[in-house]
Amino acid sequence: MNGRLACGFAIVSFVGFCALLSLVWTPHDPLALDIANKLAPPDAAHWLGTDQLGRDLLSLIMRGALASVAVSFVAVTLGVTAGVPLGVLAAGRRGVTGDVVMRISDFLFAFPAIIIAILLRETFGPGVTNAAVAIGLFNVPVFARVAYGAALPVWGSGYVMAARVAGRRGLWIGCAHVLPNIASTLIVQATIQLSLGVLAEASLSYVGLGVQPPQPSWGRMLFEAQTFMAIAPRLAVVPGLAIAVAVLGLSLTGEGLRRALDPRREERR
Amino acid sequence: MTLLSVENLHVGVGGRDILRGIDFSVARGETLGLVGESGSGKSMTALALMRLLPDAAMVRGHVRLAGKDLLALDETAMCAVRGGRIGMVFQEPMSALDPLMSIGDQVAEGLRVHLPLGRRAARERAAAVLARVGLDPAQIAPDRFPHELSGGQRQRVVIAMAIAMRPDLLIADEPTTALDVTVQAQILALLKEIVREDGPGLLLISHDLAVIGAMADRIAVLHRGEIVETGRAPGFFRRAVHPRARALCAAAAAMPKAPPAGPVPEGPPLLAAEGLTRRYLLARPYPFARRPFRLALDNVSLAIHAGESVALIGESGSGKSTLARLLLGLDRPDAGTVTYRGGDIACADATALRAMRRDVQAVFQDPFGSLDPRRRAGWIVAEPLHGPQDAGEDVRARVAAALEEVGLSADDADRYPHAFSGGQRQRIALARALITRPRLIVLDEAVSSLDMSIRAQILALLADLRARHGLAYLFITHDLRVAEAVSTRVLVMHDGRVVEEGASADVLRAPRHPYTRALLASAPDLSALLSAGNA
Repeated sequence: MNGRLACGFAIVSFVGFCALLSLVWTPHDPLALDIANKLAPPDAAHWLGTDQLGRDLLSLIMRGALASVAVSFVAVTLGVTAGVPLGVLAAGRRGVTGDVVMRISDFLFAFPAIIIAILLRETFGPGVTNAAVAIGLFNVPVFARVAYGAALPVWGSGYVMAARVAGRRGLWIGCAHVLPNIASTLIVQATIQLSLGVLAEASLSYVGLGVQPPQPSWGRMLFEAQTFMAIAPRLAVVPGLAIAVAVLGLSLTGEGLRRALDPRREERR
Repeated sequence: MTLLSVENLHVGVGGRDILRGIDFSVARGETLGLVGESGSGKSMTALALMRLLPDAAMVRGHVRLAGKDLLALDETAMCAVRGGRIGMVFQEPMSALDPLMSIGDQVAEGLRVHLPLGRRAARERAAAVLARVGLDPAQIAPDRFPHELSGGQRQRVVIAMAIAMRPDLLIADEPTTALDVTVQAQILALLKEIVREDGPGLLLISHDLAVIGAMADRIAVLHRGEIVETGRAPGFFRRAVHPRARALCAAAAAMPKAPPAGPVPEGPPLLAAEGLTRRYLLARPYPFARRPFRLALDNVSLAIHAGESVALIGESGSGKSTLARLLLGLDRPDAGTVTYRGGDIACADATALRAMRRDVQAVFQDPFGSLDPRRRAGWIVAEPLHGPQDAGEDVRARVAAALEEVGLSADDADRYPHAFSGGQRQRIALARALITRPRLIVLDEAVSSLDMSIRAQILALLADLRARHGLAYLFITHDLRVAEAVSTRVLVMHDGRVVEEGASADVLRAPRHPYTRALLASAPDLSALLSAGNA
């Protein structure tokens, strides 16, 4: 395992651990208001201090991690389950089927996640589920493209031809030969999309399209902290750092995996 | 007069010795043939002479060009030597040329690196050099691009780049391996003419003894990084004493005995094709134009009877691989039918297709591409076993039996493809083809990418399997010697048509069609190398 991968993996595990831990334990109740104690600087009881409503900042950050992790995870799962089969299918059936699939994915590509989120909000109302679905829909064409590009040479390879001569059907070949051979590319892309998902969730919550109050989220915390930048810059810096660290961890993991899984590097050694 | 002398040249990469103290020399106007199997260090030698090895390589010894030690030169001085005093011709002309630069500019570029020439002057000289290698500017303009040329013409461009500066030494690393036989003969003739008229020394590297035999004045045999034998070319292998040199020659000469031309098979054929035509649509030259097409197969018919071994001979682009794909049901013809035991497989006759899938198997050319790198050998071999008739079979036992039949062991089932050599991989592909106990195996250039000695082993194995199981083969090849050794009947394809068909002995001894005659005349002859001792 290389340094990047180890470092990224450690950060990602830490963030994931904090998010899961927040389900059962946080230093204080993240939703409990304590107006008397608002904007308190860090001390022994509140390690990172309190916010404008007297909520414990550390507890908020931990619970906010949960939203980030859950939303990006759901979004990537959605993107993989819908995008990868489409891409593999389009690569295997070039011609009309492939063209139709790829044009649909181009069409989806044209919509940034934020537009989809606004659309969903207008239709179904705001909420964290809709944010996850919006980011997930944005992920679908990304995974379709990546899977398509990676699957094309595999479908054309000698061993796929041999499998067809052996009487195997297209679906079987797709599962047994194509998927395992493009898996490493997809894993790397999934890590990258996870980090983008964290960012997208933060920006959607920032503009009020994601996690709804009173539930905490990093993006929402950034938004609310704007007003208090002059008095308590800590309120903006901490969630900002949390976002940066989570994205950095995922990017390092993605880059590390890409290097570790790239067969060309292995051959050069 | 010695032009190039290599003394005690060692090359090591990552602690592994690739070249272990080799010595040889090349004189002006002389051709030295360096021959060896893949992995023997041939290409490494060429790269070491040009000082083009990766930085990690450890190089020791002396490489003297007209007395000057190249290994002692600095990079700037070496740049003047490369292309200036040593020219190099590579194996694959398409990858040796820049696809975005016209052929004239590519040759001119080399000239301008070494000479203080203006753009125009360099272009004029480049055109002259291209004319020298047979690319007459009146017919092939120097502003054409590599993709507009044929393989042979591209290789002429590469040669033009190598000889533009009239180098003292020309290194040609497998210059004709990627080319068809008829083109190979032309390129070899051109190299010979250049050596005779311009007088450079030629270091010709090849795995093909026939090529070396046709070209070289002297021969050096490289084996595992050591030169095991050197000598004058005529009768070289008859005099050879080193066991490796003798083995190389034996492998080249050893073709399995041609199978007896049995009685003309009667009754309905196993697999038959009738009037197959396949067009490939090309891009429209302008919008709304009628799409032009290339006729890859033009009304081709053939029939293969049970137990018969048929060779299909053709050069690249003749349509033989397209035909193989149609026969295997991997592609549909635009016209014509493929029938397996009377049932039409192209017309989506499901029963006929299913029966054919079990009975007709295939082995493809590239032993590295035809095995899934992520699957173990046992899994790969068992892949065709999925029909209802295989339910309840002991798959492991059948895999083990198939592996042993092709000369591998049952333990090999647990290893991944990368752990096998090229010849072993081709055996795995053969085991996969055999496991359903087929009646016909289509072998599409199945031995073309293998070394001579491995090729002889695989051909012997194929002959043995055929005798044991009464298999029929369709052997697709560009190699006439292979065709002669394995088949009872041959078909010769040219430009999508079958131009000649008949018993192997008749067609290959007394060809009637002019194309077949040209093909036979181009095949380099080994006999001089092997026998004529007092030439």
